[in-house]
Amino acid sequence: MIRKYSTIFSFSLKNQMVYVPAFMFRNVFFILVLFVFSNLWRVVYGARDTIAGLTLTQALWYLAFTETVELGKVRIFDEIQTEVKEGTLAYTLNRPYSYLLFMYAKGLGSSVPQMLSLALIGSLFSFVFAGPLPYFNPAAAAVVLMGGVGCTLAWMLLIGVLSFWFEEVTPFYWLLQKLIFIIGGMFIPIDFFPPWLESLARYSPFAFSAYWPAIVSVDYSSMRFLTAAAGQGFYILLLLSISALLYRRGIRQLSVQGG
Amino acid sequence: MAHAIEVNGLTKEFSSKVKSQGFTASVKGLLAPRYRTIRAVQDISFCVEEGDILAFIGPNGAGKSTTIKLITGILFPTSGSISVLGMNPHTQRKHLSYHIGTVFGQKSQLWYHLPPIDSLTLLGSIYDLSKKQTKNRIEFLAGIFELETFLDQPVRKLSLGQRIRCEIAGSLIHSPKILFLDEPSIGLDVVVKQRIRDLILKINKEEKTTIFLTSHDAGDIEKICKRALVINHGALVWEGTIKDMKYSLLNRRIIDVKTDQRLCIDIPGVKTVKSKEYAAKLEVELSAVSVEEVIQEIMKRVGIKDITISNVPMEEIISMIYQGGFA
Repeated sequence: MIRKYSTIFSFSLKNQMVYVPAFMFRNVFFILVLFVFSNLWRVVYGARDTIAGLTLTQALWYLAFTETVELGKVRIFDEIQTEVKEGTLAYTLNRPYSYLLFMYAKGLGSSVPQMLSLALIGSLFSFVFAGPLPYFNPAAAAVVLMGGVGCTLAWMLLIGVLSFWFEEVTPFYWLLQKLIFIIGGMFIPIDFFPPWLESLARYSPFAFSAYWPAIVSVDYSSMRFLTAAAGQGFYILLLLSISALLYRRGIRQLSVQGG
Repeated sequence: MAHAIEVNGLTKEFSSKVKSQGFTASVKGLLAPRYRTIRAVQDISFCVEEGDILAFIGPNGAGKSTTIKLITGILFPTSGSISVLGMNPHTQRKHLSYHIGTVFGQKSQLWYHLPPIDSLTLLGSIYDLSKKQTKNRIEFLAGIFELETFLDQPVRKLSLGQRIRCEIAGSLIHSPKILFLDEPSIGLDVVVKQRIRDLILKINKEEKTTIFLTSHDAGDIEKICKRALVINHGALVWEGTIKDMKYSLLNRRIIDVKTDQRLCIDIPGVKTVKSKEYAAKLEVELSAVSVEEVIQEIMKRVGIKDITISNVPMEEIISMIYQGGFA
């Protein structure tokens, strides 16, 4: 059972490796974002050593990590939407696997090379412009960064399944992206938010795609790590379960549409 | 012989949203959508024997793909029953998937940037084969389909013919009892088409795999299949052997004749298809006149230098069926 999905993950990763030079070129945009924000944070910090417990160095690295998750994931809802629209989904259904887990494993595998290239460039940039982090736990960071992508991909799986009922699901993705940007603490750490918004945002599912992976990476504590990993696990399971329920209904919908 | 596939009174209806023209009608459509029912498959019944090679043919939109999707359990029938290898494809779809293989001309199962051996290995693990079983099966299929020389090259660098061979090999990785081939020779040149046909026949012979083939290519049907089902407008319009289709049902022959003088012939049941100086191509309607009578009549008028009697080409037969000639 696990073997087939881990094989899908590894072959998807291998298949995506061919695009690594293209990712490196695309990462010029990433560097631009980091450059703009590094200047912005310098102005915001001014003479202050910390804001909400984070130093300027940590704030810059924070953005490098949130962007690694955001730009690293592949848009699996696009593929699902195309397959549902064109009816080609039918061709992959008569295989002994769960279509949703297949797409999820494929999405995770395809995201890894992108994330690695982004993490490399983000780290280099942050190191040069902000200096090293005071403490960094690479194993914990790897787990929560992957968990962050896992959360976003679970959302995208759900959005993809909606294409059984909606002809165009991209607006749902835009909405998700904006929620991750704002409530999820994509650009600004949730710790900087006013208290009422902070309490709302901290444990929202969007925070586990951006804030938690980045905060564990820049300001590690075992408590934070456990909270992040547990929250990510919970939301991934929840979103996958909702997707599976909708998918079961959607398959009958596909039957109505004629495949 | 046991039935590999048994279909009884199969009907499939779809609801399709009616899109009205004009802005006001579009807004109305959003608030109160109207639907119409389309009957894609209408009360069809047929059986396929184990080890048979069956052609399932019909024009575009006839209901072929819908029927295949119903048989493989992808779509739910509106009414009727289907049994594939004794299983209900809708309640036992996952179990059935271990026993059937599919090749869809429009959808590749190979990973574009990876060599075919990786896709075959992945398919092996999807079908729960052990690493050793997968390796042995790949070796066997690589031998039959002659894949050895390009098994390690990325799929994007393969020719279409090489890719199709890998696609078919991929569908056979789990030794399915039934192989569904949907337009497997689409876009292939004559030589490669013939090779693919030979391979399909080989796998049918060696592994006793039942083949369910849809194709618009008359050569595929004529050279591979023993039986044919013709579907049009969702209904089964003809069923029988390929031999019947060519010899009995059509009841026509083509006579190509070269003569020593110009041939003018006017016999009921004989149509001159082409005439050029001392050569003519005649189409004989056997229900009106026999070939023997026609030849005798020709010999009374002119001397025969050469003569060929053949069946009507398969393309024409299929074209006639599509146009309702047999309906």
